[in-house]
Amino acid sequence: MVSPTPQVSSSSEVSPPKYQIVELDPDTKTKIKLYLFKNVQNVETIRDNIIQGVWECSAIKPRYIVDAFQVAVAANKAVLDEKRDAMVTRSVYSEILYNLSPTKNISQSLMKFGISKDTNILFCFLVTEERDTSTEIIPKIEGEMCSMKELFNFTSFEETKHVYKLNHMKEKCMERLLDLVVTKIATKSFVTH
Amino acid sequence: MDESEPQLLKQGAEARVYICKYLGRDTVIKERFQKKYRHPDLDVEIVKERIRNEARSILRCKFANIRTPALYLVDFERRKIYMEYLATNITVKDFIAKHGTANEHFEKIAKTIGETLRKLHDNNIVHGDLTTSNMLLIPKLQAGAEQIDPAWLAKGHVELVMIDFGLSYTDASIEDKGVDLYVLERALLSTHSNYEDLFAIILKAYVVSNPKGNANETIKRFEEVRARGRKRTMVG
Ligand SMILES: Nc1ncnc2c1ncn2[C@@H]1O[C@H](COP(=O)(O)OP(=O)(O)O)[C@@H](O)[C@H]1O
Ligand SMILES: [Mg+2]
Repeated sequence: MVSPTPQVSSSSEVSPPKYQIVELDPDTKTKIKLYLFKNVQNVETIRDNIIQGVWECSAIKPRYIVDAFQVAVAANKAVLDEKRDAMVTRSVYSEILYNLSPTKNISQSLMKFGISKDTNILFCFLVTEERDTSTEIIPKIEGEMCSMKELFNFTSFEETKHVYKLNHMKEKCMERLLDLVVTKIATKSFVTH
Repeated sequence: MDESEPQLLKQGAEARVYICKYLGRDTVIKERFQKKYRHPDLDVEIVKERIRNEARSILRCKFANIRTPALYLVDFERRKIYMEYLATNITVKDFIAKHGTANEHFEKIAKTIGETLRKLHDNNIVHGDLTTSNMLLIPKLQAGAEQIDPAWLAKGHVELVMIDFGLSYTDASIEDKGVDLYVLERALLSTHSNYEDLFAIILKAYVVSNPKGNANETIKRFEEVRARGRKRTMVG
């Protein structure tokens, strides 16, 4: 056997992963894995596969996502409610979209926070010790993978403020916006505002 | 901080407060435990109500530009609220115990308390348990600063955070607001030796911070509540 050819430096150095992982409630033994894409070409295929339940993931509009933590809070509640048979929607992945939304109207929530013709997409996968559907789905996304660190470039402060009805906010502070958004998500099921 | 094991921070009469890592963040878990003297069904209902009140008022405060901890999960089944851990804080109670009322920032802090209570009441939120332990001072990040200045407290770079809304309610009446102020006065009286200065500044700020509205009516009602309280203590 010939010895392996020396690798060029760029490929031998492990580049930092572009996705982001957040561990959910310890009882669920589940993590979320988030991938950000731009210029996605096969949006229709993605939508169809998700709607038909072939692909298990949520495809989220990044425009109203301030931070990965916002998705973590929504997904955490979805996974806990799934365990407790207390979901509002039919699958845990649509439940994530529903939880992200401030309204209780299901179809409106899925439309607002899900994708339609959007070419920028934030994918959320629920990953357990036994199962990680991202490995088969991510290669089928025809688009440019971005680092999760770039998420803020896709976020619209004003539109997020508007969607969550936070017109009282005076300063343009992302931290305060995230504070309000996650608190709204956490209280949605029993607070009408 | 340990990743998995919650650490006990405070043990109260109704709740235990823990800190742990949750969803990757430093988190406070407030757990309302079962009270043995209550019927179990009633206990469940009371706890649900407290948790709901606490979460609802914390959210309402944010809309009134009153700083409260961010909520991460409200779990009725586990009787727990998961919220933002304000790692760097001092309660107003400890601040006064340590630094007294003769320091340069005392007046500003007392004024902020009065203004904040006024904002609460103007939004028809009554706290229900106004004490100086339920008010936290946290560092206020200065414009352009990336990190907390270790001398934040000495420099008076503080922000007031209100916590512990379990006994709160929304849609409060003038009577409720008057009682809220009375509860605060009684709490100050029992915790702080020079409570009169403190309370006077708080009340003044409460009245003047918003020239509109019915603050004078609330103050009048507060004085009536106080008079009733005095009568009660004289009789009983
Ligand atoms: N979000 C928080 N961040 C930091 N410390 C907190 C937080 N919430 C509560 N604490 C601490 O725990 C104490 C008790 O919490 P509190 O909500 O007032 O419960 P209790 O009903 O037992 O009084 C507070 O006085 C404060 O010192
Ligand atoms: Mg307390």
